[in-house]
Amino acid sequence: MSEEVLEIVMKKDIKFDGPIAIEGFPDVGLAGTIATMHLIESLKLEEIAYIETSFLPPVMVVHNGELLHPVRIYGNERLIVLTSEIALPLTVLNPLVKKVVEWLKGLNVKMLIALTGFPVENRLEIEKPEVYAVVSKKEFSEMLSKYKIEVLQEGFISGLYALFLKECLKAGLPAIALVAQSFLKYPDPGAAAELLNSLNSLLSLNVDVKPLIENAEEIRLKARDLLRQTERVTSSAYRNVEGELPLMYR
Amino acid sequence: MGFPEDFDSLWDDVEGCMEPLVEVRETYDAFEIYVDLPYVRGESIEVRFSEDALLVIAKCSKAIKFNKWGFSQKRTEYKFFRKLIKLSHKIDPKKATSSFKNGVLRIRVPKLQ
Repeated sequence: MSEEVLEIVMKKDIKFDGPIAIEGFPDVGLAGTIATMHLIESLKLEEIAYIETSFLPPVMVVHNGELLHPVRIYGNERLIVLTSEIALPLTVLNPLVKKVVEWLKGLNVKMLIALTGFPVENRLEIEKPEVYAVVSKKEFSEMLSKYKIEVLQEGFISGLYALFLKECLKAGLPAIALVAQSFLKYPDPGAAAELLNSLNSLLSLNVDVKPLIENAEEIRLKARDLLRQTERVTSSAYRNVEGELPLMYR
Repeated sequence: MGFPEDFDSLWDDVEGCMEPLVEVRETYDAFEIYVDLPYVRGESIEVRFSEDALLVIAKCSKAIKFNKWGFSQKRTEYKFFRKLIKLSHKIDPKKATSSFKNGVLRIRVPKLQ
């Protein structure tokens, strides 16, 4: 029987300088994935590494004739951005997140920021989705309040970003999840734009989010397959717990 | 009245037809159906009802083509969406209402009591 493989393969030799890591793997409304892909394109970040694993189906992706791994890492000395063009099955999540957090810790990453969405039933009526935060350390709440980002005080979180926060907590790596109101069943470029607006404030970036709004129809069309894949691998497995009241509510 | 079966892929490069993403919400007395229809304008949507299903057909405002994608897809112009939505209960189409906002079609149809 073959051994399971899970490794991060570097493509470029980078001297990292206390970078911030941003994670936007496929999840609710693909808000984080659309946001990270736009971030990569806007900042013209180069692919610096990819994830090689036997936990994923045998899929590669071709862009402009170039063969690429579907789970890729972009960045420079100060910024690392993780994204995926395929849905991540539940079986890969635990080992993958552990591996990524261990790798980031080894690079002396200052903080991990997870970008994701949370489904709201009346999303269609919301013009400008709100962004909330979940933090791995209570002290970050004050810092986020300066940027007018409300921090979740009580409740359950679940899914990929919950796993990232858990592993970061264990590893002592500061972490924040930015979570935007989002569609559950459709790609949501509007939610992605609001995540990037928050990220712009937090990291003093200057990413123009207008293309996400102006090209929303094109993005929604192109992201349909990934959204359906993501829904297939995640539906009912988690998310149900979000929105439930914890017993120890204080 | 019956409808033809849907295809599994979201892209039918023979017909140039796309399957839209759909969300069905069920309450005790009705269904709310949300259909994501990018590149569609409200006047190009047709909804046909049967006793426990509905068929949504929507023409795109322009033909969509991805010149570099795939082996056969790059030759295809996608011109419309079509989706058969089967429901778990008989419905009353005469009382159905609909709206279209930001490219999302919302249909509310009561269950037949």
